[in-house]
This record gives sequence, C-alpha cells and structure tokens, in this order.
Amino acid sequence: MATLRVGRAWLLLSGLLWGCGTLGDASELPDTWPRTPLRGFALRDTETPLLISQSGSVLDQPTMQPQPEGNNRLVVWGRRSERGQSARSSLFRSEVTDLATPTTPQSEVIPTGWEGTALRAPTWLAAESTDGLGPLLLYQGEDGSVGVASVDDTGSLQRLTPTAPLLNRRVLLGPEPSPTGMGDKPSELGRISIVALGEQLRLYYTVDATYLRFAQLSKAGLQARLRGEAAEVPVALSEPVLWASDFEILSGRSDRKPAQRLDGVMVRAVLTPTGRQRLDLYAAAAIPTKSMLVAASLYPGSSPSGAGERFLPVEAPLLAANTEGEPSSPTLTIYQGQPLLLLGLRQVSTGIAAAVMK
Amino acid sequence: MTKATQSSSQAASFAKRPRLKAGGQKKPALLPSILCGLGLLATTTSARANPLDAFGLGARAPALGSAYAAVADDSAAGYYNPAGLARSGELHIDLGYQAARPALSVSGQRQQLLDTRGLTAGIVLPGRVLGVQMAFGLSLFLPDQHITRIHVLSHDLPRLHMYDNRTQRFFLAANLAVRLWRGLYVGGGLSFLSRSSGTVQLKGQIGLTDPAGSTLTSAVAVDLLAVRYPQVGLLWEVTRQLSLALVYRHRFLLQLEQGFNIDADVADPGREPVVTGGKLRELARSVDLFQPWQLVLGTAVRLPSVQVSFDLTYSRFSEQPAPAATFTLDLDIGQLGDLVKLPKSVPYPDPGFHDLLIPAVGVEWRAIDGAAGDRLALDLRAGYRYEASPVPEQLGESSFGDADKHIVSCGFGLTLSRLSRSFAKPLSLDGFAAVTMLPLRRFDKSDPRSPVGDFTVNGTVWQAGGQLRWRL
Repeated sequence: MATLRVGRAWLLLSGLLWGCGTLGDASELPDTWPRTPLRGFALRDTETPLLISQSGSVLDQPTMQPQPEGNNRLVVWGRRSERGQSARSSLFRSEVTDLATPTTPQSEVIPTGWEGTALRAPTWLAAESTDGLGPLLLYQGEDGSVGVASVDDTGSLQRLTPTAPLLNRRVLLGPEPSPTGMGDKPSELGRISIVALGEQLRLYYTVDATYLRFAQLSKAGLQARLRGEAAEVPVALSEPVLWASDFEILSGRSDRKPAQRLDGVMVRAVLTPTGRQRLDLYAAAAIPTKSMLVAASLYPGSSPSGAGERFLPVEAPLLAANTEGEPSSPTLTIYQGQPLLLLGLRQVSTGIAAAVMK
Repeated sequence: MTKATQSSSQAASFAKRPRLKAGGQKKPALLPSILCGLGLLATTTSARANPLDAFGLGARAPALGSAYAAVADDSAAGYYNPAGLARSGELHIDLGYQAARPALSVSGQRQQLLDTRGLTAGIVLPGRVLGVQMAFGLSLFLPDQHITRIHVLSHDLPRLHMYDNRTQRFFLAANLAVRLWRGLYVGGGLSFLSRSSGTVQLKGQIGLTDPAGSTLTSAVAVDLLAVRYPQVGLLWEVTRQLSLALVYRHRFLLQLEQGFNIDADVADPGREPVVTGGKLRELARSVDLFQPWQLVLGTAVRLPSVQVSFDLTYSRFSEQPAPAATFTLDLDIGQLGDLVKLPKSVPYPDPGFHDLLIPAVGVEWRAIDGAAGDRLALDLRAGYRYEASPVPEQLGESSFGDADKHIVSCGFGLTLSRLSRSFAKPLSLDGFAAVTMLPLRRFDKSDPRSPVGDFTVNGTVWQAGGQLRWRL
C-alpha cells in the first residue's frame, strides 16, 4: 500500500515537472542604466544630419530656450551669417517640431548700437535665477562684450542693455596681460556660456581660443544693473580653469597631439541624482588639421570664489570620431527625457545638427 | 494543538512509532540514496549559494521571513537546515511554485530585470539504517526561464549586483540527516551546479595582406564540469517548547574559463611565410554567481497556538572577488613580436564588500484548530528580515548598485487531515506573499567625469508563492 502511495505521488510529481517546461530565451536585456552625457554621442541621422539649415547661410552656436516643466517645445537660438562673411552675423530663432523634420530659421535679430556688426553666442539664464525677470538671453556683440535681452512667448526679443553692454570686453579680459602672450594682437573672446551656482553667476568663455576662464557676478548685482539701480556689475575674474592643450586630438591612426585651439564652449550646471551639483563643459578642440568635440567636468564648491576649480578633461571624444564634416559649438539639453546634443556642423553647408547618445 | 506542538511531539515520539510498516519495501529505495549521499559528501570540492538566499524556498519558510533554521521539518530543510529532515520521521513530498518580480530604479529610471520564477519540489525519505534514525532529502528550485544565467560584465559596467543574475539559477541539494540522540539531529549534504571550461582551437595559415585568404580549421572543446558545495546543520530540541539550530553553508563561486588558441603560419598563398609556427593564446577567466559562506544561528519557541522563530545569519561577503572577467594574452610571432603591443592583464581592485549579520523573525499562529470534524486547521504567518547591503560606496570605476533590504512577509497554511484513504496523513496548502523594500541609497563618484556618475538605487521586489505538502 505504501509503495502504491509513493508511486502515485512520484507519478504526480514527475507529471508536474514535465509540464513545467521552460519559457526562457537568450535575448539580452537592454541596458537602461543612466549615463553621464560626456561621451558617446553620434549623429542622429547620418544621411541628413542637419536639423536646421538655410541655403547660403552659416548656422552655428546653437542654444536652447528654457521651457516650463512639462513643455516639450524645442526652441533653438543660434548665430547666422552669410557664407564667406563671418564678421557680420545675427541671431536666429527656430522652433523644431520634430527631430526627424529639418527646418530653417524662423526669425532673426540683427545687431545695433554698441553691438557693432555682429551678434553671436546666445546663452540662456533660466527664470529661476533671475528673481522675477524671467528667462534672460545673454549674447555677445562684435567685440565680445556681453548684452542681455528678454524674449516673450512669441519669440520677440527686447534688449535690456540697449545703450551699453552688461559686461564690457575690457572687463572680461581683465587688467592683466593675457597669459597666452599674444602681444599687440587684440585678444579674441570666445563664445560665452552662463551658469547659476547658488547666488552667484559664472560666465565662462575662452580667451584667444587657448584657455577657459570665467567672470563671476552675483545675481543681485545683475538684477540691480538691469533695473537701473546700478551702473555696473561687480565682477571677479578667475584664473584659467582649462587649457586647450589639456585635450589630445587623435591624428592619424594612433598619434595623439595636444589641441591648439579650444572654442565654442558651453557649460551646463547639472544636479546629479544624489543632489550634488556638477558642471559639464562641451567645446570644440582642434589642431590645424582636425577638429573634434570634447567634454570636461568638475564638482564646484571647493571654494566660494571658485578659484582652483579646474575642469577635468574627458579622454574619450564627445562625438564619434568618424563623424563626417567639421563639428563646432556644441550644446547639450535634455529633450523628452534624453540627452540631446546640438552642434554646428560644416559639410557642404554649415547648419545645426543633432546627436544622441548611442 | 498547534502545528508547532505537533512537530515537537512527532520528534519526541519518533522512536516509538512504527516508522516504516512496509520497511522491507522502502529500504531498498532508501539505502542507495543514502549511500549515494555519503558518496557525494566524500567528493566535495567547494561550496553553496542561490536565489533562495534572496527569496527563500517553499511557501511556509518565506512567510516566516526565512527564520526557519530551527523550524524546518519538510523538504525546505534541504536549504534551511539539513538536520531538520530527520525530524518528522514521515515521508514528505512537497511541490509548489514561487515567483519574484523586481521593480528597482536607478536614479529614478526603472531597470529591466528578470523575474525569478519556478517550480519548487522536494522529497524527504525517512528510514533506519543499523538502528539509526535517518532521512534523505532532495530539494529543488527549477527556474522557468534560465537554469543558470551567466552574465559576466566588464568591471566598469554598472549593475544591480544582488538582482542582476544572482537570482537566476537552479538549486538542487541532496542531504542526509541523522538523529544523534533524543532531540538532537545532524544533517549535511551537497548542492550542485555546473561550470564550463572550453577552448576554441584554430590551425592553419593566416593571410598577410588578404585576411580573406586565410585557411584555418577549427575545433571546439567545452567541458561542463560539476560543482558541488556542502552545507551542514545541527538541530537540538532542547524542550518541547524550545529548539536551537546551527547551520553552515559553504561559499560558492562559479568560475568560467574560455580559451582561444591560434597555431598558424602568416603568409600570402604561394609565398614564403613571414611567420612560421605563430601562436596566439587567449584565456578569459570569469567569476560569477558568488555566494558567501554563511553561519546561521536559529531558535524557535513554541507557545500554545503560537510559534516564534528567530534566525541570525552571518554572511561572509568580504570574500566577494571582483565580479568581472580577466584576460591573458600570449603571442609568439618570432621577430615580429616587437612590433605588436599586447594589453596587459590588469588585476581588478578588491571590491571591498562588507560582511553581514542578517536577523530574521517569524511568527506562526494557529488560527483555526480542529475544525470540520478535526479535519481542518489554519495557520497564519508573518515574518520580517533585514539584510543590509554588503556593497560599499562606489567612488571609483565600478558601479555595483544595491541598497539595504527590509523584507516583510505573510502567509497561511491550510492543513487538511484524513481526506481519503490514500491521504490519511495531513495535506497542507501553503501560500505566501512578501515584499522586499529597498530604501533610497545614494552613490557618489569621486571623479566628475565618471561615465556612470552619481546614482541612486531604490525600489521593491514583490514575491508570492504556493506549495502543497504531502505527508505519506
């Protein structure tokens, strides 16, 4: 009897085991772990890389207008110049409805007054940092001096510094001679990029395409100047915080050479998932025969003035090295939850291209 | 009478009962099993681990928070305490199904992790050999999806270390338990897994200027080698109300070796070889599915209608090696060797995991006793287990995500007695549900350029299961 019971039980057990089977396969689970957007980008569409372009024009230095939370509009501002006339430029605005649909500039702002013959390097200061003044657009005039404007919902721009720049070129260059030793040749002020760190604002820019520094000003000082309560904004200049030669450019198959130029800088303040602030820098580094996009990063806050806060260069290229054309002036934003890199790309024509992390 | 008391009285009266009325028929089945078990014990090489550490085995034990070392008397004893196999003196057949679904997020982004689900089965065969009361037990967890999932990642690739593939493997254990003295039991056995060691061998000629002109013949040799690791347990019924347990589970580490050898001349077809008898040897050694050795101290107190159990587990996680693959390259191409620079094999840093002390407590309450003509009883169960994370701060290259774990569980056990002539002994239906909660943990990186950057880990793991337990 006991044997019968055991046999019956075994039969039942083996039947269930047999029926269980396997449902597995060998497919690999997707890696969805978030990564820092400092490397590993590739053009979103290699066949039609330009997202914004215009026949006969050179478009570069893109920057994204800050949008209210939940708003997925992608409004791009940038620099436009006629082909072969880079000394004369304006700002353009273009709203991108779909990354798969190339578009053209939809409006333009031309220089006037102290701005000279060129407008360039638009960079946005988000509304949270302006104490009721709304998002502000900072830009450079012909000589690199910095002006400020506000933009309404329709895209119409109103200058807040119409008669004199917010920061004069002389202020940005400082009293000391340039450490690059360029002699009598006027120093070149590169693309500006502004970030807010607590109550301070840092305006990063390159000098002579050789090194990066920042001008630090207070939010209160900026507001006082824009409200007409002060004639000038107190500014503290930093030492060089990054050199072009900190980056190496792959020349040929394995030969690496220090970069000679660093330009088109954009700096972005990031709040990491653990609540720390980090500054990510994007730029174009170049030797005479080759240009590539690079990135660097730092944790700010080691000193109130930011002295000694040097960016650490990322060894890997920001954009895939086999990208066709000459990339420049990168800008990073988070679009629809994913990092999106916009850049100037010179191929047959020069326009704004989009790249995503691969 | 509570279930716990029943168990105690069963243990106390073990020697008096006509244990195997049909002993002449059962002994032949038992003896080979015992001999087989003893033989396996004698050939032990190394040791234990699995998804059961994370989710438990069966339905009663997980409901009690896996505080089961001093309670086990069914086939789950094969995992929790092999000594418990000899306790009840009854033939057990257990069959069930359990599943766990992780819902874990990294920096707020839900991660795609595999469920762990599969069949649980086990058998306990009691018997007597040379007058000694013994029992042989087999315990099995057979996953639906992967018998074993080997997932060796590069050292710098981020992963949820405790849920990536630790929970994706089968568990098979064979144990033997002996009653040493009245109320004192000892048991031990082996768990099994397979590891692989393989080589790809290429021989022939490699085209110098035209790789497509290479003529190579290939051979593949892969061995699936058995890995066995032991566990031993001691159970002492101090009184009818108090049991003490001590369990040791040995360390387990799955090592995989994959070799790639080329023996070839380097030449273009019809030309003199540039290299004669060139050799390339590549060997990849991977480490996966590490489980630490564990020492469990358990106790169970039986009060009228209530049983309280408590386990404290010491887990030696500090022996965790870097979970990654290392490569060794050796190239012999004569004088041309100076032109080729091979990357050196860099040893990985000690991951610095922490040892753990894991407390677990379980309560079982006989809610209904002797209903339906003394045929039905209902136990309600609850448990809690706290497992700190063994993973240290991840300041450098590696990114092993993990967090502390609070496991809260509940369950029931419905016992039906005298169902029919075939099922005169009780038939139990057990069910459980549990949730593992991982509170938010922050990981900072010392280098702002880190590809992974600062990250957080949090989430829950949902578990449920059911099991039928026959006593025959």
